[in-house]
Amino acid sequence: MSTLESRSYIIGIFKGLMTTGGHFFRNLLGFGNRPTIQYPEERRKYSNRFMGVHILTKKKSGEIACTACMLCATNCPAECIHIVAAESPNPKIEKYPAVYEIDLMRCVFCGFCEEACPVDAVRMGRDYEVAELSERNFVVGIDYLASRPSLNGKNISVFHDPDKIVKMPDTKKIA
Amino acid sequence: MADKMVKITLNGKECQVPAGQNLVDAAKANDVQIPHYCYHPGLSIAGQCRMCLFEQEGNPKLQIACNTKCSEGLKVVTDSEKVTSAVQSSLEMHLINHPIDCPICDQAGECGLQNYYMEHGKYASEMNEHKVNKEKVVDIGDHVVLDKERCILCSRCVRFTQEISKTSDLGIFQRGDRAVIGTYNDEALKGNYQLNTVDICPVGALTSKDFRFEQRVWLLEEADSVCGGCSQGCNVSVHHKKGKHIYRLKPRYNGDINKWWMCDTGRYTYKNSNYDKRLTSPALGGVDFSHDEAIQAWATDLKVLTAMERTEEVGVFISPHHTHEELEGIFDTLHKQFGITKFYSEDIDALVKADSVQDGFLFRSDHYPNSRGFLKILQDRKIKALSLTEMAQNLQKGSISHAILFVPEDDRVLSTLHKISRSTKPDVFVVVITPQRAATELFPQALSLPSLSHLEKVGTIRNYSGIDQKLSAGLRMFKETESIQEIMAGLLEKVRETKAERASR
Repeated sequence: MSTLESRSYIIGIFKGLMTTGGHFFRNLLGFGNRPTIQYPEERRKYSNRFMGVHILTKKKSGEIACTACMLCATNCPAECIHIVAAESPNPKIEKYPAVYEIDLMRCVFCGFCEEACPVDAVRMGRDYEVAELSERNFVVGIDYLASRPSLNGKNISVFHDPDKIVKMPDTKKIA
Repeated sequence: MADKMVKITLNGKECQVPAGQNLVDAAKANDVQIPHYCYHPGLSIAGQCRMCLFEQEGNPKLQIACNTKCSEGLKVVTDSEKVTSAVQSSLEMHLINHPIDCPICDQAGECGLQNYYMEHGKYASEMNEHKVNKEKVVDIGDHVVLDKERCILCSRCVRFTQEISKTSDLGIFQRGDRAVIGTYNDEALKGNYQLNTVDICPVGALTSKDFRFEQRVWLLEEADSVCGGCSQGCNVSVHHKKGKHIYRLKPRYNGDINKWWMCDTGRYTYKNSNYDKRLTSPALGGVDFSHDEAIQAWATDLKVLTAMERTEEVGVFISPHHTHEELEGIFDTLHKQFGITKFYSEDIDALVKADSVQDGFLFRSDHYPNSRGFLKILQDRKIKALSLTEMAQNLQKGSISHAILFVPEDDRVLSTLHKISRSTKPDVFVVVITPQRAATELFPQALSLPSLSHLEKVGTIRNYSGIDQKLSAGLRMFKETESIQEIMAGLLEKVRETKAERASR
């Protein structure tokens, strides 16, 4: 069916331009909610459950909390965690990770490593701005995971943080 | 004893079992698992752990299965309320002073406590006392690390050193909850069978130094093979990760040869298979080559010699480190097809004659796994192996212009190879077929072809008593390595190809 509107395409063009122009002027003059933000100065607030680059936690003494049990590496669906366990130089500690590397290119940020960890040694962090020039730089080790500046040294494992230690339930009450 | 069968009732089901068989084994054969720690079929009965409790009809008190022999009409119940609660309590008792440091324990994944806790655990702890702390990481010798806290005092290791290795190193000291396993005067363990104590330890009290923190056991896969360390031929399972790296060897039960045990020397033979010792790429004069080109170079030289009827200038070094199939492949190709007759080897006859047990148990002086099979194949094919001194002389004289060396992975062969390499003149074309990198370093000008190590092979070997055993690991850890059969087939193919090319021209 050919109507007047379809035959005189000029009307259609103006209708289309009104939509585009409406958005253009609204965003230019700042009415209503703009979906874009001024990124580096302005930042979005992410959910508390957001999972970014991992954190390795530390003990109070500054040693790494990880015991190299490899449960995270076992649970990792992307096989991106590489651990080499070794005898710790500290005689009070038996096993520690001499190498703990996460390949952020392979990682799918699922958080399974955090769930598997029995000592709260690996956590999902909140950093998401990861840009590098070489793929090799995405394989990050203990230095980056446990002591990068954005952590401010606040990554103390809950098992070593006196404020957060989970008290064992009273066994007598259970029985 | 084993001939007479008796009828017993297991949880209401009637079963035929050999008279006098241990109830734990009899139940296992009939798909009833009785939990146990201290019982081991190769050791005497101790009755320490109290995990194998069962209810016997007509007996008001629970009995231990490990000390019960099957007799006619024995009626056994293992799934009643009374039994399960008793087993739970026994396990709870074992766990009272156990540190539960599974994340750092090498036994985790194959631990008796973990496995039985899934089935018989109490889950809610009733203990309100502090655990008794004991020594951890005690060095007891070159191979074994002891953790006294993790021990549940099953005494398997103590009985092993008393009954099997006869070294009597270990004992239980102190009493009550302070009782610990230890060595007398804190001396190191002795003998060549120390790591068997690690195998039989149901918990992580005794762990291997060599395997310490190397890998978690649930990430390892197993492949069946036979140890190549001596002529005993102990059955082993090869624990590897994704077929790329071998982490350890464990003995596999074979009632005729090694039972449950194996020696420490044999256990470390896996190191020859791993990357740092292996030749992983074909090379000519130290430069890496493709497999095809390497075999082509060899085939060309060999063909010239056959065309000129100078095959007596070819000398082949072989050893009984190869399987029957490999030796057949070598002789089929080199002897039958090319008419090579000069095969040199060590004096295997003398090795076999002098072959005897070295340490009173398993380890034998003949360090080749297939000497008997080697001699038989030579005999069947009417080939006489010449001595190595003759080979050195012939190389010196220049009557060998093409040497083919099938070098085993064993380090011990290097001293003999050294003699050969010193008498080899630079104009001799040398082909080294070996899994071992050190061997190729002795012949820098040679064409070297990587072959499979003993633990990767599939084939048959014959042990000292004439038992033929199958190697069935079937691994290929490095892409460019090939079995000797494949190398031989490739060589024949290349020779035929060049012949056909010439015919078509």
